[in-house]
Amino acid sequence: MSKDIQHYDEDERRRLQEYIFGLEDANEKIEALANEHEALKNSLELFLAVLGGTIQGIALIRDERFLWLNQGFIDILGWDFEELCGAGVEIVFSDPQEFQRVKEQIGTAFRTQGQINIQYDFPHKDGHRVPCLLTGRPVDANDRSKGMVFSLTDFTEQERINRELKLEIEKRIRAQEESAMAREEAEKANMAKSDFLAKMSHELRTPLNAIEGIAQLIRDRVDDPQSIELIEHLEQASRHLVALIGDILDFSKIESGKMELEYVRFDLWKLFDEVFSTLGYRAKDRDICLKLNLDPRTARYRFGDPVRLKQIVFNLLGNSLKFLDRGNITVDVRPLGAHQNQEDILEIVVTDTGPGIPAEALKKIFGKFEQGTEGVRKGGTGLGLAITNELTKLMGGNIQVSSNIGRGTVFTVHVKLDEAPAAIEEQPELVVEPVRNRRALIADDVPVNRMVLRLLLKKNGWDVVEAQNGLEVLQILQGDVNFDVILMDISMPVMDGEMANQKIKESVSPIKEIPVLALTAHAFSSDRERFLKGGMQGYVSKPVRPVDLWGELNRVLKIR
Amino acid sequence: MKINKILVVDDEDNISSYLSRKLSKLGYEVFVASDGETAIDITFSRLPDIVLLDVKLPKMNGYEVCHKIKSNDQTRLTPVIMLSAKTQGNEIQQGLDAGCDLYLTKPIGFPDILQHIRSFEK
Repeated sequence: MSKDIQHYDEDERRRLQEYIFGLEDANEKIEALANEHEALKNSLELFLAVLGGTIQGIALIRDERFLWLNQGFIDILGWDFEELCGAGVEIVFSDPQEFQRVKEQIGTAFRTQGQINIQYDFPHKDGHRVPCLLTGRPVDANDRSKGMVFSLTDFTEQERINRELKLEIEKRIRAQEESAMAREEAEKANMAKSDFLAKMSHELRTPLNAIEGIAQLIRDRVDDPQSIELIEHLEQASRHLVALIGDILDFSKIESGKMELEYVRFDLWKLFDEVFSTLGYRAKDRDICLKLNLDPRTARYRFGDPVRLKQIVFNLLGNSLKFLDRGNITVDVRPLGAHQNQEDILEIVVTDTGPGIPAEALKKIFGKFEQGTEGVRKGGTGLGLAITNELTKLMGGNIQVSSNIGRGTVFTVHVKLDEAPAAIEEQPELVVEPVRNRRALIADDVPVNRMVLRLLLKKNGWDVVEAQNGLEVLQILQGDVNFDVILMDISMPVMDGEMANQKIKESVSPIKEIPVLALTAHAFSSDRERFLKGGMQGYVSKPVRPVDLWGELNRVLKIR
Repeated sequence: MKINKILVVDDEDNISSYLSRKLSKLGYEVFVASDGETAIDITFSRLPDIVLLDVKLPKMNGYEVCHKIKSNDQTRLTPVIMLSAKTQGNEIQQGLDAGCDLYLTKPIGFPDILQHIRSFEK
């Protein structure tokens, strides 16, 4: 039985007022809770979307049970959500022992690092192993009962890539090692070859030294024309042998990259003059006209390696002379810059009217040991043109050849030779002057070498004291210091020349002031530099040519 | 007129605290008094912009409080809404005689109360 509100009395109205306000309040609270619920639902959906969509496996584990896990976790290990959610963690392991082992590993990681970061091959439900990275940490570091969140990353693909990468790296390392070994082998072999050549040339030069020296001495003593002719043959053979050794050495230097060019000022005109006066007799013997056309615009003084330039010209002229019995050999020298604005390039053209070179042979003419049978018969080394070719390249140029059978051959050489100022005063000509009362101390372990030197020096009025090795030199100097020069062989038993020189330079005056000339078949220019660095004043290559010896002696004694 | 400060007078704690909470939430500064003398003190000292006044009060009833407010020059124009369970004709007449600007009868919902308060803002 309801009563109209109009008939409620005062107390009833008062109670009703409280009731209405109470209802309003409750309504408001319900609304707030509903909003809160909606918000929570939204965040939960968001969280589930993020966690569920993550490829990595994520699991919340409490009291060794899966409290929740995402699709990623389920996918990696191959289970259903219902099978794992709420289940004991041991379910994913193959047996309790394995579970215990992993548990201990996780416990250790947690104790030592405060978090877990281990690699482990987890068992998939179908039995195969999945290489994984397991990371995890407690929800609340201060309250382990809140459980731990683990994330599981499947490394299968990563491991496959790593494996392939590792294989590839190993393959490359192996290839590198192999090629390094091969290179080392090749370098060793090349070094061995260079060593062998250096030693051989030394060994060959020592007896040659004796042969040449003795031949010269004999020629000075005999008048009989037949004997002189025989001796000249001997000298010629010896010269050829020296040339051969020189070529082989040069070539080995070029091949091993040890060929170093000088860069000194020299007189280009004089160089050609010398070449022509040296080769002139060979032309005159036969019916050959040797002609030099030197373009007057050619700068006379140049920077470069005169010895090697001379070698190039010698080789080309020698080559032409070798194959020509009669006819003309013309050498044209001109600056290329005269018509091509390349001022430092010098053009040397050697033209002969010889038999010409067949096209087949022409192709291989600058290769080593590519000499025709004719060349061998004429006494060539088969290396001359190969060396010439390499030398022109080292001089920043090139060499070309053209030939017509029956008409002749043209060699064209371009080399870079910087122009040098002319103002430097002319060096006076070296003259071999007989000197009186000069005294030399010569050291060589080979008696015949000492003899040759002794006779050469005595012929020019020198007094000679001999020693067989470096130690004897030092002993002699203890009692006799009155020497103008010491001629020192390098390779000697007991004490070698370099050591003896060092001792001399460490001695008191006047011993240390006596100039020392190295006298050796060590033929590399690096050797020469080493001797000069060691304090020796000069260097004469064996076999000793009188002109070299007197040149060095004049130089050294004038300096003094 | 802008209403910022509201004085709620009611001896029922449930009523005054509910009104106070609801009005505070809406940004008003709310004073509460549970008897007539306190209501007068607060009105004169804090000068509220409007007063919600119950009639049945200890020490001094709502009519007297309203009369005192309307008799004071300083508070003469402050709107007073009487909120009472008394609905007899003479009781309402008494309220209007005491000078109240609006006489509302309980029970009433908060939205209605708020609407009436806001009507004084215009």
